[in-house]
Amino acid sequence: MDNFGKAKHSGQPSQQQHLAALLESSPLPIGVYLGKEMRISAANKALIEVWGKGPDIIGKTYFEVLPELATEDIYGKLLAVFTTGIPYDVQNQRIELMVNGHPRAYYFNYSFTPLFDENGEVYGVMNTAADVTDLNISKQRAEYSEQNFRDMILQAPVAMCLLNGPLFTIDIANTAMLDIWGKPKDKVMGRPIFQALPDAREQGLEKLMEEVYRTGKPFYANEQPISLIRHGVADIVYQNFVYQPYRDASGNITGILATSVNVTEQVTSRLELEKAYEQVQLSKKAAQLGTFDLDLEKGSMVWDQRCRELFGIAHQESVSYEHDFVTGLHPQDAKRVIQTIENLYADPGTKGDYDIDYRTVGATDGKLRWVRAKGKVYYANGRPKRFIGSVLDVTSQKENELRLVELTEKQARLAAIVSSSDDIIISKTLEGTITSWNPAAERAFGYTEMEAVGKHISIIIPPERLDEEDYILSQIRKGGKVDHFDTVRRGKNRKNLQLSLTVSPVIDDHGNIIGASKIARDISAQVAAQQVSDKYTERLEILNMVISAISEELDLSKILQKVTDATTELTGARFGAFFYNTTDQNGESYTLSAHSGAPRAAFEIFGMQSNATVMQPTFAGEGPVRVDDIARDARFANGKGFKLVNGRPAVSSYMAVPVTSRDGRIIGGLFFGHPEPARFTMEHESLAMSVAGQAAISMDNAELFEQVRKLNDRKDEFIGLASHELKTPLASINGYLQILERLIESERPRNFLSKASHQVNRLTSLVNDLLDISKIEAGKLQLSIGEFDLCQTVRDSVELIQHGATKHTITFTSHADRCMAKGDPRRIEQVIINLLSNAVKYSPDAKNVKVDLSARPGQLMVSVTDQGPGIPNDKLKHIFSRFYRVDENSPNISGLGIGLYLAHEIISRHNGEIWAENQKHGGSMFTFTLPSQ
Amino acid sequence: MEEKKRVVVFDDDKDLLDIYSFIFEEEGWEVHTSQSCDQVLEIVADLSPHLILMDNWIPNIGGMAATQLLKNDPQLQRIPVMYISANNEVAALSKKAGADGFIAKPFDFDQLMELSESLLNKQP
Repeated sequence: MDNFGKAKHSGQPSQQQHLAALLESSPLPIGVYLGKEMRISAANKALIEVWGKGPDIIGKTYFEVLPELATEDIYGKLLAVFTTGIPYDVQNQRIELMVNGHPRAYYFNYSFTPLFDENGEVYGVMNTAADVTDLNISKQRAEYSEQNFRDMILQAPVAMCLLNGPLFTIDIANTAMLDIWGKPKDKVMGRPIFQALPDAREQGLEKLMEEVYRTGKPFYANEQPISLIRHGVADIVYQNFVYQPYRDASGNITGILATSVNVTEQVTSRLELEKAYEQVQLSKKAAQLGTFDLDLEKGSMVWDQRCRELFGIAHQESVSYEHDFVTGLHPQDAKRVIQTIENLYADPGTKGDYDIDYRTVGATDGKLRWVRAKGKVYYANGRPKRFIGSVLDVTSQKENELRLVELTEKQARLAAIVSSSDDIIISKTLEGTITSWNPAAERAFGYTEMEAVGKHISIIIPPERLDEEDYILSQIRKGGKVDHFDTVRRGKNRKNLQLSLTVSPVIDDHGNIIGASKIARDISAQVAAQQVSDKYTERLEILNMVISAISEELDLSKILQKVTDATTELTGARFGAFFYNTTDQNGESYTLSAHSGAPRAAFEIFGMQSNATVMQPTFAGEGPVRVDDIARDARFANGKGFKLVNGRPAVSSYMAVPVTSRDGRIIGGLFFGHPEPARFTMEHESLAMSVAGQAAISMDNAELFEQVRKLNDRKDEFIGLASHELKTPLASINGYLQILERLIESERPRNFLSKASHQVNRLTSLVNDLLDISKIEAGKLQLSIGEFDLCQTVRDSVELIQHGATKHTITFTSHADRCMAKGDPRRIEQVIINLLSNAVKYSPDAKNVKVDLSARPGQLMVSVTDQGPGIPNDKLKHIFSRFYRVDENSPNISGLGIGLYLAHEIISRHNGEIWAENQKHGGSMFTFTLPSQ
Repeated sequence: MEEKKRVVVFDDDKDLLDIYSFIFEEEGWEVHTSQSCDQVLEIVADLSPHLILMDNWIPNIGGMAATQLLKNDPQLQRIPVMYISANNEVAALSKKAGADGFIAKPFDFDQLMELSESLLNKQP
């Protein structure tokens, strides 16, 4: 600034440039105006911004650019500097500038500095300015607002005060506030508020203020009553007030600004209003009485408002008895009411007392109302003159009454149900005290209602079941229900009852559980039925057991004994017997086969001819017979057939069931007796019938078995006989042939003998095979199982066959180290011989037969291979069948076709296998296996 | 001179008795025959043979019962009994009854004699 101030106009371009640069870069607005016209020769950016006139101000005059300053003293000051050469300097000058078309106040510290040329003449003015507008405004505002604030408080239409510091010293308080406080100004100002107003203490205000002071959060109160002593009088002031924090310039809370509106009047008046309203309501209620007044002479009727309401009349015009009263009555009540009134009119003896309830139907609203009317008819000279009275709305009362009636009816119905129920219905308290007891309960338990109610429920609980009640009550207390609880209860007579209980909680109007209701059904009959059913099932099981025992038995006499014993037991008979339906040589007698419960002798007589009449119906096919008392039954000659002779059983109850075979033949009968009458029931009869049915089947089976057994025995006989009868002649022939062989020496006859022997041997072998088959079929093929040397057996067989076979060479090879086998060596030999002779027989054109023995783990295997034509593949599986022959390949070869069948049977019996296969290059191979030792 | 070996044959078939006789006599045996075994103990006790041939089918008590009788007799039980039957199955039964050997009908002479000799040799 000093440099500028002393600067001379040198015209030196370098200096000018330097200046221009300085000027331009200055943050302060700087401008240079030349000549008296103050033409702007330089203005830096800062100045251009302050002026807000745009950049094209260079070359224009100061006055042109800032015409708005004409009214200010600026022009004069500026020209004075130019003319006098004395700088002008001013602080905080308020200047109004037009910025962007809008007037705006600025505060500037600015200076006009004269610019001198070489001659000491002023050629221009340099203007520097500092915009201090912001500073100024805030300062001004602060000053202004403080004052303003105080003014505001003092002049506020509401009560306000400023309380300073943590003690809330009263700084400012306006008149309204002082009025609320009811204290003179000089007694409170400058004092902490709760010292100035001790009467305001301890109403929570201290805490509220401290809170606001501490947190800065304003507190709002609405219609807060505060008790104060105002002008020496205790008073309650209702206030809507706000405590606001008061902050200094740096934002610290320095006090509280309290604003309050005294709403005492409003509140009290409202409270009064409410009170008044209540009173109005009360009086309205009291005023529910409507009044009516009939002048019977004039025929006019006056109803007050309330009365009109009760008839649903909205208008205020006059009303008439006929039009408004009579038609306003409920159709069901009209006749009765009118009759009553007319009676009153007609008879002064009634003293005119009118007291009646009726329904009205609202004229405009159609609403039904119950009305209680009371009144009096006044008479003059025996004639009704005036009728005055009041009416009251009793609708709600009536409704309650009706509800009550309904409820009572409902209860009555319920009670009727309870008392007529076949189920036992009892209610009790949670402690178990009986509170109700219906007739069914009375019938079941034998206690009357009088006896039971008030007693503890345990009077009907057997001691061992008292725990159940604890359980039930605990469930009920929880609000639970006990459903279909099957148990036993005890009656007055100590007799137990099977009951199924359902116990539910009894709940009062308020939802409290106050007791339990118990519905019990006597299930004694059900239980009894169940027991019968159980018993029946049990019997069925016994029956089933008996039947299966019988059916397993094939010995007839044992079957009969079992049947008799079982049925006697099942029917509860004292004795029982089975008689065959057969007659002896004497004719009409039945044969006792099995007996139970009494000595045989007793039954022998029972079954004799004299008693045949008793059994006759049974054997004649008349079905089962059941008699409760035979002595009273004509069919049985009133028991004559059962007369006692020495220890013979007395019979009173009698039952007989036939035992019928499959083909309908009555094989026999089961007879039961008991000395006491009426011992046999339908159930016994059906049980006995069931067993008898099974017995018949078993007997049939046993008979069949017996027949089979006999046939089998005969087969045995046949085999023995056939062996003997067939072989004995063979043995003779064979013997004689051998004798002849020894006796005859010439060659030709010997040759014939040899051929005869050969044929005898063949015949013997065939007979043996046939006998073996018979034995197999009879299951009589016996094996003498033992350990034997299979290798030796094969060798012996080969030797034997080789002996008779001249054309073939039989080669035996053993591949086994050990060939001890388990089996019957004679039978195995039979198999090998059979296979070898077949091999020879069926390969007449071949030369070799090969026999191989080999060992495998646990078994030995023998195979016989021939070089014959083989066996057609489709025949392979049949060749082990009985009497099967591969005919077409061997039409000329004799044999019964039983050899392989026998071989197969024998090997199978040894737990071995035998099979046949064809060789690749022709010929067949038969192989069998045997378990090795 | 050595005592002739005696054999008693029990068989009801006359032809077979002839055949047995022929064979045994040819071999130098003394042959006795019976067509019934009812007197088996008496006959055997009387003859005291070295060998008994017993046929299965022989009246009246049958060969099996006769064998049992013999084998239950302390005096006679040591005499070997060769059982003969047309039925091979009888072999096991006869062994149970006490028979010492078995031969099936029809039989081979050589076989019969071989077995007979072996039974004699077994005797103590």
